[in-house]
Amino acid sequence: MAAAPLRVIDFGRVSPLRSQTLWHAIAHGVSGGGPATLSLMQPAAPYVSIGYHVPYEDVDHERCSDAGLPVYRRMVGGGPVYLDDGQIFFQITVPVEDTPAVRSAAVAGLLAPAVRAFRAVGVAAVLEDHGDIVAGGRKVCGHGAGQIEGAVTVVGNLITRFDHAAAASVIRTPDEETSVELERLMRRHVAATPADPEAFRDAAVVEYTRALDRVAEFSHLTADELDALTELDERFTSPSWVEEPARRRGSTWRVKVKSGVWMAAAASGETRAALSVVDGRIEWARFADPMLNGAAAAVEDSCRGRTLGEAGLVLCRRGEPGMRLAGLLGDVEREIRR
Amino acid sequence: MPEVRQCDIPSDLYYWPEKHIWARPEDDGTIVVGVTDVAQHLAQNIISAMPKAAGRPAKRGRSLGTIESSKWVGPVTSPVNGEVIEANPLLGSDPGVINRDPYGEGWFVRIRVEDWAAESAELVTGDEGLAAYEAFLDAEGIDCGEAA
Repeated sequence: MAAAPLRVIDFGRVSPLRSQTLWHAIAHGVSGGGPATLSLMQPAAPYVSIGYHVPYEDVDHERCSDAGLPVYRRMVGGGPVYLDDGQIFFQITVPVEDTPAVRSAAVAGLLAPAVRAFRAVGVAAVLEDHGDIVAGGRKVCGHGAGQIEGAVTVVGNLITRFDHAAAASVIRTPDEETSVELERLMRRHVAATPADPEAFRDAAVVEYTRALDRVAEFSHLTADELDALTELDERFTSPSWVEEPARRRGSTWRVKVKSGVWMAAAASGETRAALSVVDGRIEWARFADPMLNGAAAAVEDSCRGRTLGEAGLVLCRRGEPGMRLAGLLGDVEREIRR
Repeated sequence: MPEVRQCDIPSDLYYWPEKHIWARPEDDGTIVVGVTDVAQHLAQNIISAMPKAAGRPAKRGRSLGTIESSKWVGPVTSPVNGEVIEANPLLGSDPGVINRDPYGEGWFVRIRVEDWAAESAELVTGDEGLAAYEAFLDAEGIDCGEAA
């Protein structure tokens, strides 16, 4: 018996809300026996999306409100992200029984055709071992994944234009300096790839049909999915959904810009540390402790270029405040390794 | 602890192999539920866990909460019907405990079951349970000694 076709739905430009709820409705449909589906869409306006487990307070709601950005919680993983019409979203949704049990293998397998689609439109993309899609060492595609009911969905985006300032500004940081450093890291490690969206879509269809050994069938939502969409529209705009069921952030704060590139901060009483860590080494640091007595800049300089462990040892030689800061660096290291 | 395809599978627990879930009846009549060594191996580095809160219903085959690893969010499936009476408070601050100790400190929720005698009949345990789990792992080609 021939395999079911790969359903392809290109929704075009849709509202920010629908750019989330449409593919969740597809997951519901695939879970109920519908065919594997490749979907694409472009949000017509900017907004912020947060991963299912992300604490609500990780978003700077004041800035979002000032900029008129709605915040929606998705049902797959990853952190808070700024999204706008410079990004074309794609989602591949398949029945859970059709994916490898090993989650990393499932995600890699479902992202691989997208990587080939990037390459087909002239972007020298590669899928790194840890799951990021990069070109020239810079991340060019955000992604998230998860099991929604009985379906597995992997989402990603073609970024034709990226607003680094907006992307950094919507993330709540301990202070303004940290926000500036976050934007600097984003500019260095996240890149847009101005490929033709239609060519990318066509290439994605070719690559996913080939990978899944199916024939493409351009289609639309079923009546059941449309019913689910109505419910999802309501749920995703409900404060109880957006603000809960987030876990609470501990005393350590972190943001992953790309694999190996982190912003992190920790505090205990009046002792505070904020850091950027790239490939295991501190690039930027800001320390505060009442007993540093104006030596903070020198202490920060002594840690730059070192691993967190090395910096901790250096700090321990600086007496009580240094030992307190070393403790915070230990907290940051544990958080980053998690 | 017995090993099945290099995965730790204690013989005294009850399992739903396809969902990689274990259940353990307690003296007070409640059931402690968690994910197996196989599940934590497949998930790899668990960065977040969100069990349902106490008071929420547990329905066999439905989600008891979710865990996240490597941008993947997946459900933890309930093996029984009943009511969640406690979520593991450690998971909020240390979700990695599921990787380190899935049958101990990494338990997920405690459930008050409606009818354990009937519920347990749907699960496998003892030597028969190990054999059933091994058959499933064989069929899926899963081995905890291999890099996930």
